[in-house]
Amino acid sequence: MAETDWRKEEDAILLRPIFATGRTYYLVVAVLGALVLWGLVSYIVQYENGLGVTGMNFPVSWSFYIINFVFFVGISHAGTLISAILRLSQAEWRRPITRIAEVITVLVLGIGGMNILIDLGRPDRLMNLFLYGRYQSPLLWDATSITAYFTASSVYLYIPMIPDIAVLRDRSPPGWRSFLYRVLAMGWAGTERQHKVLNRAVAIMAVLVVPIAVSVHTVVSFVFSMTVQPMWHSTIFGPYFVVGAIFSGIAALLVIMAVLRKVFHLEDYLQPIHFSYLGLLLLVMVLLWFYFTFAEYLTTYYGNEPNEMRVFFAKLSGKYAPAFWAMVACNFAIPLPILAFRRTRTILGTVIASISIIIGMWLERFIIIVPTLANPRLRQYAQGSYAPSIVEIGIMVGCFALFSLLYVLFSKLFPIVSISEVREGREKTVEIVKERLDRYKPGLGKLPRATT
Amino acid sequence: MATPRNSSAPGGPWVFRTQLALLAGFSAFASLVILWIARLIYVSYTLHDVFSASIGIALIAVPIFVFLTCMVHYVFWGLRRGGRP
Repeated sequence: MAETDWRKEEDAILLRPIFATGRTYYLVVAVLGALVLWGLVSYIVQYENGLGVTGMNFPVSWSFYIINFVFFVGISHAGTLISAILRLSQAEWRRPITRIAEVITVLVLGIGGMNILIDLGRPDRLMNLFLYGRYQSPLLWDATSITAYFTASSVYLYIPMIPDIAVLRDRSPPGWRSFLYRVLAMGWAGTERQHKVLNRAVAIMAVLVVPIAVSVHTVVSFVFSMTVQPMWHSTIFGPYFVVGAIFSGIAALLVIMAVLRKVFHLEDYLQPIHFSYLGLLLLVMVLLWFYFTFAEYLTTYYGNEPNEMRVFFAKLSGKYAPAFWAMVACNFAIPLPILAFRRTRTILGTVIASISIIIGMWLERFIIIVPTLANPRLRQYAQGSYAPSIVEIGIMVGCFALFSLLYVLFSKLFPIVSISEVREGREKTVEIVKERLDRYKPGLGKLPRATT
Repeated sequence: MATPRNSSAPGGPWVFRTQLALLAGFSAFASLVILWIARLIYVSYTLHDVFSASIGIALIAVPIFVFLTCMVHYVFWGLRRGGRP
């Protein structure tokens, strides 16, 4: 019987979430579904009544939705960094992690884009983008680059999945899922020629997605930096946003890895060393983030431009000071001591640091967007204020729940850890690493040794 | 990796037709994006509005979508051909 065959697989535990469904799955889907429903109802309320039901006003016309858009697009860098860059640098420890990261990328890009649609108020206004868009606007650069990144990431997620889908195809009982797997497996038979095609395609895609990912968050930053709003019009925004994106992406990946490890019993695949290595990367990003933040604020302070100083002090000691200092605590003060020492850079430690960073990076987007808009450059406009309404909170909760729900559904249909990559690693890693060591060591290995 | 069972079974004509439909759908999507970019260039030309910047952006964006379409076709036909004995 096909349903029992999967249990005899070497990596049966990776197939278990797909072929065995427990009560917990239904409970999780029900809870997430309810939260998504709350989000949907909130959106319907907004659609019926207009954007007046949100906390947005003049001059604070961008708030939760744009914050969430930037936040979600930022997290998408998880997939690119971990999967593509580690693949290109042939880091063998990436193998169990790549798909987890790639799925994050595709899902958050979709949800990030959805937030723009929600922010429009009237979704039919999206047609203006297609009919009357002008490339003078950074918003159009953004739309183009995110579309390119979403497409490239989807292709990059799918291609390495083909061998795993073939495993599912061969073990699924007849039904709609068997048909789906047969379609998506693309006739995979594991021949040498097919391996060549796939490996070539994955290698090329890994090279392509990296510059696209860097360009995406640079262009997202241009939406702010190309304006002349105080504390937005800064040349540092491009690299600052990219660093922040990679930062939040790794943090999100670590949290999701910890959850998957616990829920699917993946202790053999997602080992403490994976968390430690990613924790080290995160430590580097903590320091980079602090460096960029310090440089930005010092430059503003030293310039002492009156409009910018109003925003500056609103953030550091004014109305937005609690959010600002919470951001610094969450992004620097809390994660730095946890990640800097091996004793605390455990699975639990890295997860605590990551959760702190995720909160901190959301606050960073809030701190970038709202204080600037609340303190307009033109003095004849009064200072504004902003507080989110229940509608915005509902939609935000719905977005996070939708991401989680889609992730759960993906893990129900496809292996969340790449079986083919793990197997390839098991078969070839020792050889690959030995060959690499032979190339590094001077005068040893294949080169003849000196006799005197 | 152990040789999968039924790996050479094509799964019938409906599987192939669905695969072709997905391939066509992807190609159509990429074509629509390229058409959209072309429209934006046209709008910028008629409005005398950053035509050069529009061309510049198109020179980066359009090849990406063309490349992705070619990549998807390469993988599809390559795997199909490579799976034949």
